[in-house]
Amino acid sequence: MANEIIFSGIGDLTLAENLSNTYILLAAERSALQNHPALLYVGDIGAGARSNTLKVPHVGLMGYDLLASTGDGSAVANTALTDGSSTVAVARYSKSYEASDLARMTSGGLIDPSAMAMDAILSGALTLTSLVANLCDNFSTTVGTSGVDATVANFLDAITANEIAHTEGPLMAMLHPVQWGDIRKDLGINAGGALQFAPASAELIAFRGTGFQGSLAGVDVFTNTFVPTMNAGADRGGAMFGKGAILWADGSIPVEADPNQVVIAGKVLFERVRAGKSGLTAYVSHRYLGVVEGIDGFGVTIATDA
Amino acid sequence: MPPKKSAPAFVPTDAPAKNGGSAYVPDLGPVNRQAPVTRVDAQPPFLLKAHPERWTVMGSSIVPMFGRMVLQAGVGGVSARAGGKIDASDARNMTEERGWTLIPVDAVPDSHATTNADGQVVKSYLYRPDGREDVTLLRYTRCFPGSSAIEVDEAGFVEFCDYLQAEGYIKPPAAYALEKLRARMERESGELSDRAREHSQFAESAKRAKEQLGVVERALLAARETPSTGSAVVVDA
Repeated sequence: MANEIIFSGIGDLTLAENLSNTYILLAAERSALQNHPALLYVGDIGAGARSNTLKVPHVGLMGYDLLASTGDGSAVANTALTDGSSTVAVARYSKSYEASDLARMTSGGLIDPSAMAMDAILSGALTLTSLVANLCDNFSTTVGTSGVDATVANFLDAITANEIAHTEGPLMAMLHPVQWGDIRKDLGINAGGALQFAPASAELIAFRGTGFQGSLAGVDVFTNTFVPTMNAGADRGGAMFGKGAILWADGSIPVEADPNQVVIAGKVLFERVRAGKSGLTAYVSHRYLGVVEGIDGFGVTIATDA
Repeated sequence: MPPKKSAPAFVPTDAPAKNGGSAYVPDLGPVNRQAPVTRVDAQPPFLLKAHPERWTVMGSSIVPMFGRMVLQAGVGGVSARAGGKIDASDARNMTEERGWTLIPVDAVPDSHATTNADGQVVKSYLYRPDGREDVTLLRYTRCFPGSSAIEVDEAGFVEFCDYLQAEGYIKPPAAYALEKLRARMERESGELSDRAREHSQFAESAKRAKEQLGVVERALLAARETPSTGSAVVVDA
C-alpha cells in the first residue's frame, strides 16, 4: 500500500495546536478586603494635599482615663491627656501589559481593554490585601507555638487577647491557608461542633473573594498566601484584629480630559498608551496605597507551623 | 488450564534483534529549557525587629520571635523617594516608639557572611535566591529550585540569635516575658496532650510542645530576677 493519508503527512492542512476557547486563570489571590470594617480607612491624601503622608492621631478620650477619687473641697489635679499617632505613607503601585497589534488580533479577546480593566480592578484590590498581610506578623501579642499546627484553642486565645485589649469588633482573622486548614481540622476532630462555624455562602464569596472562609465564633476568616513566614520560615504569621489595628489610606489620581484615561473601581487609574509607530498598545494601571499598624493592642499575631 | 496470554507489546519496526542492535534515543521535539528557580512567594526586603515580649523556642533555645519592618513604600510608614529609593525614617520612629529594636542588616557573625551578586563577601542576614529578584529571605531560610518548599537552618538561626544577645543588639528575655511565654505554652501543651490522648495524629505536636515548655521552664529558673523597684506607700486610714 502507499499514499495513505496520515496525520503527520498533512502538515499544510493542520495546525500544531489549536487554542481552546476557554482559559484557566493562573493561581492568585482573589480576595478583596477593603470593605471589611476591621480595616480602618483613614482617608485619601487628596488632590493638593501637599503630602503623601497622613498622620492619624491616637487619643485617650471617651473613657480612657477614669475620674479620680477627690476629697470634698479639694482641687482636682489635671489629668495628662494620652496621645500618639500613626503615619500612613501612600505610595504608587502600578503595572503595565504591552502587546503588539498582531498579538491583540490573535489572542482571542484576552488582550483587550475590558479584560485588562477587569484585571486592573482585581489587582488593585489584591495589592491592598498583600500590603495588609505584610503587617500581620508584627503585633506584639502573639498566640501559637512555633512548629506546632494551629488549633481552635489558638484561635480562641486570639479572641480573648483582643477582648482583653478592648478591641472593637467585628474581628477579622487573616490566616495562611495552612493555618486555617489546621484549625478547621482541629475544629472537626476536637470541637465536635460545639463552636459556631458559619461557612462562607456563595454570595459572600462573590462579595469578599475566594479567600473568605466564613465566620468562626463570630470572627470573619480570610485566607491568603501573602501571609508572611516567621521564625526563619518555620511558621506563618497570620493575625486576628479589629478596627484600628491596621489603617489604610489611598489617593485619587487626577485625570485629564483624555479618552485614554479612566478611573475605575473608585481609585484605580486605567490608561491606554498607544505607540503607533511600533504598533504597540499598553494597558497601564495605577493605584496609590498605604497601610500601617494603628493601635498595636487591637491585633494578635497567630504564629503557628507553616 | 493454560496460562492467560497477555497482549503483545508494541514493537517498533526498527527494534533491534535479540542479539545486537543499536541504542535508541526517542526524539521528544524541540525543548525550551530554562533553569528552574524557586517558587516561593514574593517577599519584599525587610529589617528584623525584636520586641521584649516576643520570644519563642527553636530546638532547645529561646529565640526572639522577630517581626519585620518591611522596606517597601506604602507599608508601615515607608515613603518612596526619587530613583527608586525609600525613606524609612517615619517607619523607624514608629517601630522604636512601640518598643521594638531594629536589627542592623549586617549584624551577623563573621562566619555567616555570604557573597553578593558581584561575588563580594558581605555580612547580611538577607539574601535573594537566584533568578528571583522579588524574593528576599533570611539567610537561615532555605529554598529550592522549582519548588515552593522552604526549610529552616535551625542551627544557623539559633547561632545568629545568640550572637545578637552576646553583642548587645538585643537583651536576653526578662523573667516576666519568660513567665508569660511559659503560661501560654503550658496551656497549649496541655491542650495538645488532651488531643493526643484521643487522636494519635496530635502526638508529635504534643511531644514538641512539651519539650518546648521544658526549655522555657529551665530558662525561667535561670532568669529569675528582682522585680521592678518602687517606693513604699503609707495609707492614712
